[in-house]
Amino acid sequence: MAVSEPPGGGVGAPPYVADMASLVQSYSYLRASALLTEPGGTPSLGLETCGGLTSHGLAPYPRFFTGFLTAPAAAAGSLLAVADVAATRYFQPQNRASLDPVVTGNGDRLRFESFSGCGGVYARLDVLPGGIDGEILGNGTTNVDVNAPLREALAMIGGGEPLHVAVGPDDVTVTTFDGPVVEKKVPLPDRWLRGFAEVQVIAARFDLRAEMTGVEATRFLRTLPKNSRQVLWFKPVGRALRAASGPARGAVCLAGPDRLRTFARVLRHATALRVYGPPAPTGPVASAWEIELPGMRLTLTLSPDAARGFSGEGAVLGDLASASGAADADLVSALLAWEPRIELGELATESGLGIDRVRAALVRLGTAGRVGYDVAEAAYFHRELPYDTGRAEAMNPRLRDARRLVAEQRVELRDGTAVVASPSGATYQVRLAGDGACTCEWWAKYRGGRGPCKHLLGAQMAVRERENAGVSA
Amino acid sequence: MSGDEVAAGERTPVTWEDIEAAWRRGAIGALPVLFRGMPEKERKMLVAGLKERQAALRTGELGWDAHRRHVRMLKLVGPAVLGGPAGIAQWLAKRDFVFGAEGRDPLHKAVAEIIRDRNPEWLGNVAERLAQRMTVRTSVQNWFLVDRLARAAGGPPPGADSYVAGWLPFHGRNTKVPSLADSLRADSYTPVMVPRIFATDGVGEELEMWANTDVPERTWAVALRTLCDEGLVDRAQIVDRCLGRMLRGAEPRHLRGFLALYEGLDVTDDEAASHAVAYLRLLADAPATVAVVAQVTLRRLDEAGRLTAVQVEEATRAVLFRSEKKLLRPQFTWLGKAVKGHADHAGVLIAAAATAFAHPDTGIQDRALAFIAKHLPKLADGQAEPVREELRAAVDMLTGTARAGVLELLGESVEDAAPEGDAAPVHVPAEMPPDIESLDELVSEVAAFIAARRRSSWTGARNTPSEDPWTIERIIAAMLREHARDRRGLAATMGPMVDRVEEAGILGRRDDHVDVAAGLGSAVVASAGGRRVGRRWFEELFASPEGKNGRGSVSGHLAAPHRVLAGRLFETAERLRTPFPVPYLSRPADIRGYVDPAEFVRGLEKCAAAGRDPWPLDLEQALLRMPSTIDPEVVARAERLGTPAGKWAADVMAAGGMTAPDVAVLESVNRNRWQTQRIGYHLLPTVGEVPEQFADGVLARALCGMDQPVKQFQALAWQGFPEASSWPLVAPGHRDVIAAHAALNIAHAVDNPRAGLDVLPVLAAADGQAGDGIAVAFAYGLAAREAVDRAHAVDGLIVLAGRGTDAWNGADLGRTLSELIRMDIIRTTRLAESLRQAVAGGASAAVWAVMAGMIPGLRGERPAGLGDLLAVAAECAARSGARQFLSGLEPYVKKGTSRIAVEARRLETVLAG
Repeated sequence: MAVSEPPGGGVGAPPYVADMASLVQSYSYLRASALLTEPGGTPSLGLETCGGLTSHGLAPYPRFFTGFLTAPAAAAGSLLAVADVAATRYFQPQNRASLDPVVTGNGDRLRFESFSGCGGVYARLDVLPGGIDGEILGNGTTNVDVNAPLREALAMIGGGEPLHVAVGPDDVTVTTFDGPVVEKKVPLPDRWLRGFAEVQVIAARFDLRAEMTGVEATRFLRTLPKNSRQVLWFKPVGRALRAASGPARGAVCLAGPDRLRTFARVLRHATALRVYGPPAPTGPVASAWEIELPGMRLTLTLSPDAARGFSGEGAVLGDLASASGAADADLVSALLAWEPRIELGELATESGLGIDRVRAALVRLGTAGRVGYDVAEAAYFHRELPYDTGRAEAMNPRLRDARRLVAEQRVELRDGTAVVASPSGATYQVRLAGDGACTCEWWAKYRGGRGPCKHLLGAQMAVRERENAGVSA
Repeated sequence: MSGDEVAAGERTPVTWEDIEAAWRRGAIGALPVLFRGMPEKERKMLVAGLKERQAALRTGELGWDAHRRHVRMLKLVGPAVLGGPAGIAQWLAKRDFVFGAEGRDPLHKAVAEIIRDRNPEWLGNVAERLAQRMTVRTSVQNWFLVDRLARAAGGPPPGADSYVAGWLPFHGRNTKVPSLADSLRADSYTPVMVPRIFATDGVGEELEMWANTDVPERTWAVALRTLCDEGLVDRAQIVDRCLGRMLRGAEPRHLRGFLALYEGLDVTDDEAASHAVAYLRLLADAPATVAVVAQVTLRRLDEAGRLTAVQVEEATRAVLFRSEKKLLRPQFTWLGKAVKGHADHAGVLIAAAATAFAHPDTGIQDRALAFIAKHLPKLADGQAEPVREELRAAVDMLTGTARAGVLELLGESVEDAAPEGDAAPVHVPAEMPPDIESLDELVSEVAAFIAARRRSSWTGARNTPSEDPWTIERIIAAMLREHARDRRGLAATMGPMVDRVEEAGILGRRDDHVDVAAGLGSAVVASAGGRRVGRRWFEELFASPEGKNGRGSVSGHLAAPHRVLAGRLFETAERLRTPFPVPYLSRPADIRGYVDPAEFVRGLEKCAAAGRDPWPLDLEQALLRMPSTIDPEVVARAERLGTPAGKWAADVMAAGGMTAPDVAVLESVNRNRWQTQRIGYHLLPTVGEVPEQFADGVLARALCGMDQPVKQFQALAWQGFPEASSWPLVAPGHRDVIAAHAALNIAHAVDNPRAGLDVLPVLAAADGQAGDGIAVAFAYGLAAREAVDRAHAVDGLIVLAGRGTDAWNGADLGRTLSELIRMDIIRTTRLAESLRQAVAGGASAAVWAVMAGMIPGLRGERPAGLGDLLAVAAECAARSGARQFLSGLEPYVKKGTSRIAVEARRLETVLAG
């Protein structure tokens, strides 16, 4: 059991166990992000960056963009919305989070992403080519500083005049400043990291469920109950959504409608609302809500319950459990070049792998925070989260336990079933047919709603091991 | 001082015994003296003792008072012996010391003294570090210590946000001086701290918390105004920061304090004019209370001629996009004046009024339409063009009269508003769920049932997914099948489930714990070969509600369909314990729950051949599940058996199942026992006596003869029914009876979140007459408090609508609703929302049928929210093409602009065609 010191070192305090440890993330910016107005000049929004991976390798203060945003009021509102999500814990709103959003220079567009402190809401603003009048200077991903004066300045932006924006300091600034003047340290729990990465892969299974105009969207969103954490269901009827009593084919799940209140800032600029979700839900599921704005899109992806983060969904455990996937993922990752839209076909030809293996490799890369998923384009895009997500994924408790079950030979395979002897002494019957099932209590509680249990995962691993052994023998 | 330092080198080292002795003797004041001039080396040697004593705190052996004294001593000694400001700050912030020194305390002075003696520069450093360790919400502890250290250091206040959070109540609660301004004036930090109030998140509440509005000089608003007037703080900066703070936004409770500060400043027109942009943004995004202030200010500026037409247009669009009526109404008045004031830009301003068409509220649409209709004809052609453009864009988002009005203004022909011809989706019956195939699957299902029950008992009824109505039936069928096939195999596989049942605590050890889960628990224990569980509650299950000794019994607080289920499960347990398999008679053969009569009679024949009686509850359940039309040959076969069971079965089958008992509505008024005041009104269904054919039955007797629903309603007050959706399977052809029982549960949903409303769509799809039971159950369901619960009723209503008018009577439901509204039992707004959703789902004809029954029943009363209801009535009448005279509408059709009058007139127009 790994033991690490709590942040700041501790005298006589109990040592933290690795499972509960939270990494501390340090942000250091050259200066604070601010709306700068030079005397007599037009205002310019300077968003400051801190270290991240770019197309030219690691950079301390990368510069991604300089130019104009064509719809400044909508852009400012959306940026505030993204920052709001980063600063909120929807389940325990009194405890504010203090995480900074992530910005990606992505070929022809800019993406701003954030993940709520509670791990249940993912927000992304895609500023599309139509919303940009300027130059993307480089590709890469990094954090962007948000502070109170900047929020006030963003709230003041309105009107139709294009707004000048610079993401990252220019060379002159970098050389004249002695060192970073804004430094923040925030705890970064494992489950937050895992959730941020996994939400991409969960969204990759979504289809378009409903679409409505801006006016209809406003009317609909205003009918939602306030301060509610309930799980609501809707059925698309024509171009509207009608309240429904529960899951059904084509139904849309909205868990914790209160979490959509972030949209209030941009609703007046909305031209459309699109809702995405998995095709045939049987219980509460995640959903993505995308507001289309002039030249940009703001998307909120919500977890299946306000009290539930994305990290425990287990949607990707099956893919991660396979041993051969790692090599495929390495191969595919070498071919990525900050594309805003990853074409599966091209990747398949280039890598020589089949489409299915490329898709599996992308799932793996997604959980490592190295690709994101854009539901509107129905495509992955390349970006590298500026966090150590790989470590968090390797530490997935269920995966680790399953590996241990296999390693200790506690899994006995039979015909279409398996018997798993738990270290606690109980034995569980695992059925492998279809999605599989288990007789353990955890499975009884969720019935596959949060992915496979460790026993099923272990049994699947054992089956794969046996197949591989059969092939090599 | 210098003499001490010289002496320190020569004296004997101080030990922990010395420290503790000094602490006991002279308490706080003695310790700084003891440590003064002590060399660092000697201090270091005392650290080990410090840690030991801290560990002693955690043993819990010290009494409360001793613990507190111990904590105070350690807090004081730590800064004297630990190395460096970082270590000291960490020590002072320890959680072990949380209770011991709060508020203003002489201890803090001694701590400051000890630190100053070591190194005066450490004071500010420790203060800053300690402040960093506190958050805005935990600043209560240690704030006074931080304050003392920072002031002793003589530097600026600590920069951490937590310092602000403590500074506000520090002054707000200072009652030693006559006014808050006095308190602030005396504080050298004030000029620095005041701007920081606006920069710190999460402290807005503190501005109000200690303020007593009866004593204005104690409020922050007045104090800040005074300081501004005196020039102690910069007024221009405060105005700017205040507006900025409100722009940045927060929860309303945090913003209220800042709004009060702002209003206290009495901002002048000049100041406001230079911040016009800020007000415009507040108008768009701030909470209504703040937006109102912005609106008033901007309007004042406009009337003073200090706003441009573009700004007025922006303000108008910002407000008219919002949904708060208190903002919308004044905006039209302002706009009317502004059109005259900015005559050159009248067109743009009038066009802005079209923003209001986006509202679903027809009243607001009409208001905008009237405004535009009034001003448009006066405009020159060039000016009118932007208005026409807006109108053209708005046509598509409007319906009904507003749409017609807009088209008329545009000079285009109003196309015939033909009924949109929507229809409720045709109801498609669900498919039979597959049988449980293997033992492993059976174990999974049982485990899932137990886990769900365990979870729902903790998290309550909310957010628990509806239970599958077939779970219990499938489990019973699979258990009996496996029992007949391989009894030992069943026992071996189910073994581990017994522990889970025990752990989940669902075996019904106490009477009030008995429910369906207890029944399943008995069956699980029995299937694993265990002992008999639940005999006692089973005996009471069908006894009289008063019980043997008048103390009440299980049957008193368990809904009848649940008693049926629990009883059958207990009987299943008994069967599993006997080694002889007897045919399972009541196995449902179709999705509605009917048995296959031929299969049933075959089972009876097998019983007779084996010389065994069928299990009684199984037999009775099978008879309750008889379809209404049965092949006479099958009936004859039952008759031929000659057994009592065969005779009974033949009678029931020949009659086409159980004769439907009467379901009626009971109105009752509860009065206070000693006074005549009415304390409650109930409208609940009753179920008539058990039919003659089932006079010897147990289950039918439980389902029928409910003549005191109010008593039952009160007994069920604390339960919701997660598995009520399985109830229709108990008596498939008698949904009115089942609905009558469900109504007792659903009636509670009017004020509570409630499980079990998912039975409504199932009832809607079930067979049997739909009378008062269905009407009452749906009436309460449609007006349930929670949107989630109402959604079940709406789904049910749409299913009913899809089955056609012969399946139910909408007017009955309407009359029941009107009665509940008149008695003030349900909220009209919730009902209107449900009915609107049903219309959206295509059930407009059905909703109109409900409305046509309800509106006459209101007898001219005007409950709150009636306008909403009439608006829905107008909409569904238009959509379904209803053309009729509706009695009962006249009292509402009046002149005037009240919502009720407007919507009633609209409805009248629609009905007149």
